[in-house]
Amino acid sequence: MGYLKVLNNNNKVYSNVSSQRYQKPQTGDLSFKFVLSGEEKYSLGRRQLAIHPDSFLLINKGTEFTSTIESNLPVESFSIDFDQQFLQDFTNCLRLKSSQLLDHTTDRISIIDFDETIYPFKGDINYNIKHLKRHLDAGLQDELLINEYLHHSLVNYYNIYDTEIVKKSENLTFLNKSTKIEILRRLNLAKEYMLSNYNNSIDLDMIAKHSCLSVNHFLRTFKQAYCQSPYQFLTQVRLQRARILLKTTDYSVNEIVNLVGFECSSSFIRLFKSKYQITPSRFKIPA
Amino acid sequence: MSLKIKYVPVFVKNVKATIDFLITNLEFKNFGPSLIFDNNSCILLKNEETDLMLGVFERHANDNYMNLIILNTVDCLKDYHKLRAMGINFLSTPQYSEMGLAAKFADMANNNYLLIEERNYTDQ
Repeated sequence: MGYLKVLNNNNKVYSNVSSQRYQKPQTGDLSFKFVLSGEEKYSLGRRQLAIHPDSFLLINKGTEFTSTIESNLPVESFSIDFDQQFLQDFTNCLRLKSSQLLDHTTDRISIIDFDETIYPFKGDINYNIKHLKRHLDAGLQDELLINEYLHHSLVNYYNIYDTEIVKKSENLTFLNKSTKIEILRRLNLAKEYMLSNYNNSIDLDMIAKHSCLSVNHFLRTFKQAYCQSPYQFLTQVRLQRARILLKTTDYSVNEIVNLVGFECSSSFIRLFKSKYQITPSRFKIPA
Repeated sequence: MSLKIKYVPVFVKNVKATIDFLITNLEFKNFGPSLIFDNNSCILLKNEETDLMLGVFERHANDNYMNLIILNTVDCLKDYHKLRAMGINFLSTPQYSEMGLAAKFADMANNNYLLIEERNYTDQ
C-alpha cells in the first residue's frame, strides 16, 4: 500500500505503509524522511538512526543509505526527494535579489550540504507535510500545489536548520568558528544516538563515546549548546515518545513505561505529570 | 474551500485605550498570541460569555482599507493556490507568524481579506 509520485520537475514523493520492509543500499537527491506512525531505521555508513513521528531525517544528495522497518504495527513512511534544479532555484530565490535572478550571467549560489542528522518534526513543517500527505492520499494531481507545499517545506527546513544548527553552535563558547561547527557535529551524533536508542539502557559513557568526546567535555558542551543536560534531553525524548504511544496505540501505561526506556513507572508518571500537567492515564482517555 | 469568520477586526487610533475599555467594561479578555501581518499587529480579545472575538488593529494615517475581513481556513496553502488560480489578486505570499500561516488579498472594491490558518505550536 503506497505510492511514488514523480513530478514533471523530477521532485519525488514516496508514501508507504508496511510492517516489514528492507530497502537495499541506495543513493538519491537531497531527501527528507518522515515516519508518521511507528519507527523506521536508517543506516548511513556506520550510523544507525531511528526515525519516529516526532522527528525526521535529512539525507544529502549522493549519500548511500539503507532503511528497515520491523514492527508488529503498520509503519507509515513518507519521504520527499528534491530535484537539484528545484533546490537551486529555491536557494537563488532565497539569497539573490530579484534583479539578480533575471540576470542569467550572475553566478549562482551553491547549494550547501546540510547536516545529515535527525531534526524535530514539529511546527510548520509538521502542518505542511501532513496537509500535503492528506491531499496526495486523496488523489491530488495538481503539481503546482504539490510544489507549493514542497517549497514551503524547504522554507520550514531552513528555519529549523537555523534554530537547531546555527543558533546552537552560536551558544558554544569557542572562539574558532570551525571548532564550534565540529563540536556541534559531534554533539549531534550524541543527540541522534539518544533519539535512536532512547528505549535502551544507555549511560553517559556510551553517549560521550558515540560523540568522540570525553565525558566532561561532552557534558559541558552539550549543556552550552542545548541549555540542558544530556539526561534532561533523554528524559524529554522518552516522555515525548510515551505521549505518542499513549495517543496512538492500545498499549497500557505500564507497557509504555518499558517501551520508552523508563525503569520505574512511578517516576515516569511523576515526570509526565510535571511536564504535561496531566497523568498518563488521563491523557490516554480524553475527558 | 472551508472558510469561516472567527475574528471581527476593529481599527482604532488608540489601541491601549480601546483594549482597556473592552476589558474593563465589556468583559473581554486577552486571547492567544497577537496576530502580526505586514508589520501591522493586532491584539486578539475574546468575550467569554458570547465567544465574540475581536482583532484590535491600530489605524495608521496612510491606511486605505475599506474593510478587512479575516477568513479562517484549515489549509492556507491550498486555499491560497485555489484563489490565485481563480484570478484573485494576493497582496503577499503566505507568511508565517506566531499565530500560523496567513496571506492577504484584495477585491475590486479595495476590501482586504486576510486568509489565516491558525496553528497550535505548543501542543507538539
